[in-house]
Amino acid sequence: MRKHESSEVSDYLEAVVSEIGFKEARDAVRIEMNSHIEESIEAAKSFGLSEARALEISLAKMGAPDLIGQRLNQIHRPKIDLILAALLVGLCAVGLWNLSSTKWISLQIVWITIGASVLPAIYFLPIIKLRNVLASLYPLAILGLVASYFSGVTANGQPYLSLFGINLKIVDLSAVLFSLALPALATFPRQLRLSTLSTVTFFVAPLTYFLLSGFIWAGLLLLVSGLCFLGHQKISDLMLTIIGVVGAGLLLLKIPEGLVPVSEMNKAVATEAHTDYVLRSLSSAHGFESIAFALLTALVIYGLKASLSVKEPVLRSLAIVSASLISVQIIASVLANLGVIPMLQAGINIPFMSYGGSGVLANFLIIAVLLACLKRKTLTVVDAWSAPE
Amino acid sequence: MAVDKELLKGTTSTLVLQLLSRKKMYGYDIIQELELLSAGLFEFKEGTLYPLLHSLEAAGFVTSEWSGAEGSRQRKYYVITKDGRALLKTKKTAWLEFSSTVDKIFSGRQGGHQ
Repeated sequence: MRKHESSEVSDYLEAVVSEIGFKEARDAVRIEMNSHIEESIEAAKSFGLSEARALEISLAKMGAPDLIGQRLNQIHRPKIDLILAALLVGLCAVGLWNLSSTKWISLQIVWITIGASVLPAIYFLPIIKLRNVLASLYPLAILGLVASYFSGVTANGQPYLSLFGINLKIVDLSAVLFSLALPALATFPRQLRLSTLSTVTFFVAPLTYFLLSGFIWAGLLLLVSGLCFLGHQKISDLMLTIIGVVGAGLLLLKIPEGLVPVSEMNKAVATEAHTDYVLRSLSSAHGFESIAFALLTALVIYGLKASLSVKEPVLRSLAIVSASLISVQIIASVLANLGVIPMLQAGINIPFMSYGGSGVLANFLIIAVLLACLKRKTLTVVDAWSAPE
Repeated sequence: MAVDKELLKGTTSTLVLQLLSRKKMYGYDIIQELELLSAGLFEFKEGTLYPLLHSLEAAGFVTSEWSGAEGSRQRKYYVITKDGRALLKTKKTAWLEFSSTVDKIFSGRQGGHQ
């Protein structure tokens, strides 16, 4: 019960919100209607009515709580974003079609199956558990990076994490994990909540590591998504600009070391289906590149637009971070496929289309988070953010 | 005299959008303003305003912002959007056409009896 609620008001509000099936939508309704009833009581008392009479009249004027709750339930019923889901299915289908005549198809089906099972696991998590899972990605990313140095597997100048015979591209994967964890960490109860300085440190520390180690793709992903996140925090424009300029400067300095020479970009390998030149492969083998290009463009535009429709600030920054992670990958990979920019030696993943487990897992995680945020796009208050654990 | 609820049903959202087109308002504020402007004629169960406001918000015709710190009274202010203004314009045009037609018929009937 809230500080200002009498037991009658509390009972009335409970009768309203108990009709709303989507429990996470209840807090905002309760706060809003409680505020209304309080003002109504105060107004009635100002006409000389007793507290009890004012309360009785105010609740009677509100109307039947169950009917109001039932109408609110219809409005706040969570809905899966079907456009995003359809784009996801379309991209996976085109990606699989691209690999259909290669030996890589069966393994890619396994990865997509694993990725697709991550999606509902994230999507259906209650909001506090979602926050906890996402926040735990931060230490998980550190653990993965540390463990990769002991696994001894490296390729294209990057350490890989070897688990049960599977090599995960841990550096790029960890950039995604750090990016998704940052907004979640900012929601912890006030006593644990990060100060501005520590929020920046949690972002700058892995970013510095990526950039100084020459992991430019991971650095770029974290830089863009982190700036999107910090843009929604109470951080001065000056600090944001300094981080952006220094980060971009370091990135530009390191980029030439990680590029594929132009001569190699035009070799036959550049049209093989399992490489990151997926659009080139589709173009030469199947002519599906227009469909792929349309789906990717739609995903960038729709993903960013949809993320801006999320109202609650934390969920909104989480959605924007997710959409930016997908968009950066798509824009860079399409440009590299078209030959506008050089390809990185470590590759640039085309979400849901490129062959490889790390990319598939990372992107299914990102899209699951985005869908989970869009499911809650009508929420305006998450009271649980400030509630004690 | 209170107005027949059936008459009010189809127009409440237009009335709310009209009020919001002037300034941002919260639920209790809207109810008070409606009662004041209609001189008490438009009276309906106050709680039913919230499903209406939330459906307008879900459809993108209004947006909302909270004011007031935690622990104090928190109010949810509604602000009309560009789509909301367009809807209001359409609804007002339709209403004016409807009411002028009803007026014509009423005045015609009265004329017929004379």
